[in-house]
Amino acid sequence: MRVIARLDIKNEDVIKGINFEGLRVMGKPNYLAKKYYNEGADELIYSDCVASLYGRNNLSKFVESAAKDIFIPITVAGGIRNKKDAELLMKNGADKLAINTELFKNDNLGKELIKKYGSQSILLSIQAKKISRDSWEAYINFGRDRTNMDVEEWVKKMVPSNFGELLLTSIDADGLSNGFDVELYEKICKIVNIPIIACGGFGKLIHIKELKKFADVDAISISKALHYNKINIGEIKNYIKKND
Amino acid sequence: MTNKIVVIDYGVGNILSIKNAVSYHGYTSHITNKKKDIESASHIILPGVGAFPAAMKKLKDLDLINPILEAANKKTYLLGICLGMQLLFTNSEEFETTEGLNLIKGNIIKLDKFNSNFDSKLPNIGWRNCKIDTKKNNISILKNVLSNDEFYFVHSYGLYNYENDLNLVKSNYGNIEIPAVINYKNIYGCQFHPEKSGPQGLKVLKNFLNL
Repeated sequence: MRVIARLDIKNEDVIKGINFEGLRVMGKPNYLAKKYYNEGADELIYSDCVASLYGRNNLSKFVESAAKDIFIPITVAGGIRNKKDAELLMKNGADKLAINTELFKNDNLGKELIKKYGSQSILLSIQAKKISRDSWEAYINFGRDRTNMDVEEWVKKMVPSNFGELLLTSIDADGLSNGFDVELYEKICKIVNIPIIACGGFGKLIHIKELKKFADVDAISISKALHYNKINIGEIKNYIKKND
Repeated sequence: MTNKIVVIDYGVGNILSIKNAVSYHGYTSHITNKKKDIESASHIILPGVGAFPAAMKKLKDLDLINPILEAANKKTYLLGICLGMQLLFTNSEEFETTEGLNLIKGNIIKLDKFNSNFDSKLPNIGWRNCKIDTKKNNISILKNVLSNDEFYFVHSYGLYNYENDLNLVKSNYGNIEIPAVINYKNIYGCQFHPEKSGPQGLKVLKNFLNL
């Protein structure tokens, strides 16, 4: 199982909140990126939290400088609206792009980008909020806006476009450090056959075991526990190796 | 002779990362699709992500196939990365059977056809080690690489049929074994991305640049 360090970026800073709200500044993006690379992160996710909302994309400069001395895959998420946004990021060192918000306006964007860059470079990103015992709603604009779309339905509609991976974030679990939304991953893992990245809720090592017991996820994405120095990536990877 | 490192730019792959990884070792690389650069190179890196037929078409449209074949024949060191490694072989069945560079005999097929009981997800994405047998394998780009060093793979196709005496090491994925590093004369290939595999990957790239 891969361990991915996630940097949510607003303007010039890495930020973190609870359930995507109450954002606090954690540090500079490339300082943290380098730290997590040196600790042994398998990948990095750079996510622009205000890109979709403000209709801009801010991350290419960070990625360009990160790619000079960080030699692991870098995924960029947030505000990728068209081929031009994608090209700017890919040209500046992004290996993969994750798309969410724009797909609700233009569900062809995934297919177009996959045709140009290949499945392995384009991730389907979904931000899920639980609405009943057994269903979740997809949100856009960094967890701000509803779509009235059921997550399971959306997954079934979008995955056939040949996305290489699914980045599935639980808005409810985000920032609480109380564990992953296991039921969400259990449900979605049963209906897709592409690698799934679980994002949101990691607080301690036992949460990985709880998740793996019910859901065949391929990677976990961690932000808060790393930013607050609760744990380092080396410890997480050793734990995964021991429990594999 | 001083080294001239050429990274072939044919519009596929994250070429910036390869350039950065080469620079990391203190070398300069030429990102190019010019025939004369390929002719005068000491080391050629052939990157690649995406689909096999599209990549071959781009090499053909840019008139790069013959220059690459000629360079390989006159003993220029050649390293194919990921799809770039697959292109070195006879053909691939990705979408439709497409001829490759045929510098080495072998076929590229989808990983789920390696074994009729294949039960893992595709693409194969993740960090895997190479099963290095120090007695059997003597691939110079794997110098100082340990059997527990892990590399970043991302692919759905792999090398399947090949000559028995092809020098290679494999990597496990689910219930199949995938050729991960190959060597034939002056030609090398990595199915993983050395430029995205942390310090271990940089070590492999350095070994190639030091040939």
